Amino acid sequence: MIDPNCIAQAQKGDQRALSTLYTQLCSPLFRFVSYRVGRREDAEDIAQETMLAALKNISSYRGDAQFINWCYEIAKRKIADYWRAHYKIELTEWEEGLNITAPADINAPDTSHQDAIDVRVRTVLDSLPEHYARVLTLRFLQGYTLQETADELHISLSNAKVLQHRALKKASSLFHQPV
Amino acid sequence: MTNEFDTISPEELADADKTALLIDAVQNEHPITESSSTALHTAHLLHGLKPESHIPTQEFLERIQHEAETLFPMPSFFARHRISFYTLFGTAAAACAWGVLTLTQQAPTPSTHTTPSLAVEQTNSTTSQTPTEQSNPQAPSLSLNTNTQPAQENNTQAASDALASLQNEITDIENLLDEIDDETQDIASLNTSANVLGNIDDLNTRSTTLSNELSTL
Repeated sequence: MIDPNCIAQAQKGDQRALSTLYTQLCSPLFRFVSYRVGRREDAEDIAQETMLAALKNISSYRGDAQFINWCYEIAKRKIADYWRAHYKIELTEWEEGLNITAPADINAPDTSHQDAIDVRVRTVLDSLPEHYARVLTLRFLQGYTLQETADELHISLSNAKVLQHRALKKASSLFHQPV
Repeated sequence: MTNEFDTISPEELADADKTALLIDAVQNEHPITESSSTALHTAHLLHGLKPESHIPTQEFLERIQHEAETLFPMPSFFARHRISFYTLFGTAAAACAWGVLTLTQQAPTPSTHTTPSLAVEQTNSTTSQTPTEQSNPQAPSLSLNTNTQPAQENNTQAASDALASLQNEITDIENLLDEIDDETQDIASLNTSANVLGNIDDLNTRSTTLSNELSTL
């Protein structure tokens, strides 16, 4: 948990406290963002923007919620902006369906977001027809190339390509349907 | 599974090609220019199932650490301890003043060494050495020459005390010399008186002798 005194000092403009918060927020915010933004480089940028925004506006933090949760809310807006700008997707409803409870202790391993998203993704995979789930598992979880996937499933490369397209399309519809 | 691929339209095949490229880009974390949709989001979520994707790299952590030091620089030593320029300047000035004072006190001064020596030489050749050694072997003036301890404030006080003591000694010696002069003059006066008295006695003796001679006559 972030030391409340450190937050109070940062709100007064103490450089040492601000620097401490900046480095302490790095890992949990990166994890939070990277689960929603697959590309590492983008996740790092968004995490960094979130940290800067949080510390810039730290005087508006009233202590109503855990400080890290307050930062996660900022991160959600950044991620939503990112997806809206890059992929024309609104994530708000999907995010709300996850029911993530952030840990109170920032120093503890933060698995709440991973758990929530993992549960959601695995639920979707379990809901897919077996061959759709299989092709997605091979491609994403086991890191198979398309050719390796085709060989594993004993189908042609073209058919493997069509199969993963249909599987992803079906998974997307399940992911983004109201919870 | 064979039935799965019985009806593949050219459009779907084209879409499948795009999806394949998209998935490759996601898996290799390449920039994605395709403004896809929920499919891309889903691909990202599936890609995110691998735990290693969410561990910040050491390079990123170091970059953040460096940024923290740049964005929020630690105050300097002086600022951290609230030491202002004026404090430093004042301390330096005080140190210089103390140094000058100490050096001045340690240097031989005519008023403390020559005056008593001359006075002693005039009256007593055996006391031509420094009055300090003569009058008081335990004089604190020794500490002026030998004491170089870093407790400089104590040294300054001791030096001042020693000088005051030395001045008192000199005054005492001067007073003593004056007294000796007075007594010498008194002795001379007494000698003169004694001579006069001797002459009177002699005159009395002569007078007596003359009186006796006159009586005889």
